[in-house]
Amino acid sequence: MQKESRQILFIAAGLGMTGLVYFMSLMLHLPFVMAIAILACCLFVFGRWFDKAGAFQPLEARDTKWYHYVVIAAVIPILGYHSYLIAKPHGDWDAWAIWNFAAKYLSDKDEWQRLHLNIYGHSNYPLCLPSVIAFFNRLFLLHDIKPVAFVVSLVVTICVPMLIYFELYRRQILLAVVILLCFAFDAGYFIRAMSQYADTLLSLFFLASILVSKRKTGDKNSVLLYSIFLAFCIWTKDEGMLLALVFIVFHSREILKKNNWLVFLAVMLLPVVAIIYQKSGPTLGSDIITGQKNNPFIYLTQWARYDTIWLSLMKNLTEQFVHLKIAIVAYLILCLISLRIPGKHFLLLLTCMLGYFMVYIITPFNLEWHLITSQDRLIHQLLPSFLFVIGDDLCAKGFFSSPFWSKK
Amino acid sequence: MKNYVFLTVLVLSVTVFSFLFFKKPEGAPREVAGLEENLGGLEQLLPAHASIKFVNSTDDAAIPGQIAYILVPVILLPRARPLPSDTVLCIYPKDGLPKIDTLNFHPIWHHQYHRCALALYIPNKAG
Repeated sequence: MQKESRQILFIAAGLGMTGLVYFMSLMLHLPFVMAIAILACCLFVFGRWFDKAGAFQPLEARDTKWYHYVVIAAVIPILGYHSYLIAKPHGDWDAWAIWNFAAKYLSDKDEWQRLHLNIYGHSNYPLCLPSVIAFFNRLFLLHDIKPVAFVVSLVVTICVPMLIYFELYRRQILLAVVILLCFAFDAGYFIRAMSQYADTLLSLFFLASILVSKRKTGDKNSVLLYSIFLAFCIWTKDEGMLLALVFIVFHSREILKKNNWLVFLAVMLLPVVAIIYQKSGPTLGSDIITGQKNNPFIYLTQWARYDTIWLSLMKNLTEQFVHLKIAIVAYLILCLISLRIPGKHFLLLLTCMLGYFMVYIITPFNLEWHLITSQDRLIHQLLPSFLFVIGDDLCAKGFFSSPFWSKK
Repeated sequence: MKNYVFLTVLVLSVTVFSFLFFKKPEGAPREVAGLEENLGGLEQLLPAHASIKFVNSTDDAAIPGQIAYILVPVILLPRARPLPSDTVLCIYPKDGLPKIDTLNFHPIWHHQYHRCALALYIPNKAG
């Protein structure tokens, strides 16, 4: 893992911890000063551990080339500039209606529980992003949440592509730069990322989990670190639960090994408590589950729904995520040519995609409406992980040389 | 020092573009005529100190300065989307609006497009 990647992972973990500690402090009626102190302790302990954990030493110890700094100095301002151009003062619809609105409530230590009374405003959504915004809003004594919401969005929007770049540039600089530029000049990425929704934050946490598990598998440090990011996924959006579940299934052998499961459970405890508290209000559960009026299994045999979802997926991939479509197709073709089975993490991401597909099958809402309003954002959540996994697999030594049947 | 190139560029970029972003003029809300009839009875349901205006959301400059006043999308979206996609319904205070956290909503709305009514009430803190 590269040193800059560690810095981004620290930023991501810091955002997740901020949201969690602040929300727990509201739950427990702790003074804000105490929340700040607890958060500072958590960050200090995490930083020390992260700095020393042997599992995350640099992947390759070659010297950094000068052009690496040129890329950093050139592309980050481009990412920032494009974000600035596209960002709206209050974000998009759901930012006003849900995320920033919830942040507004959470900024008030006395009245924040009124959030749960607003049963039409999706107050059952996980509150990681609103809690982060609310924390900084109170920290800087701001009356308007706009500045914090914008800055958090901007930081996350920049960190996602940079994390992929930092992890790939030592292996294959050209591929790393191409992927970085795909992000830097993709208007769709900025529109979704600067909408101030929680999808990009979720994509950062999930990318971090994938990255950690790919770099070092099996030992307690890596299980601890990816568990932390998975916990933040769950605490960020309902979709994070699905992503975490698929991830756990694919890593069950590691997680269940020796005492790793204890580490895993310990890390998951706090977000799960926060989620249970959050979901136990008047707006119980998830929209997909609580919205069911009929038996959802009757949808499973309505074949037209599969057609509709597939066509919408292809339309989205072609019109909005063409680089992802090309990357997936190219990767599968290369696997076929080199007679390899696609990597475990690629299969994990395809399973997540399949999971999303099945959610649409059983959705209680109007299917066309549901697809139009959310499918692109679900792809957006998986986009960084897909590009990283494909890039990393293609850069791996021996990708084209060892057919799967020659392996023992 | 080389270890902090990324963080330095990140902090500088975020600072510069945040500064530029908040220097963007927002302008005054622009009224859009012809939508009131789609929300029949709404005005009567509002508290005495609130009024409604319709603004076009495709124009950034049309969004009023304080999000606290953009309340209706919470109710109308994302389930119903009863207004044309480029329209935001905003509620403005006539004599100042209470803090957002003292507001609560009792919406009465239908899934049909353009047929929506909304009641907004402001409970007291004790209630």
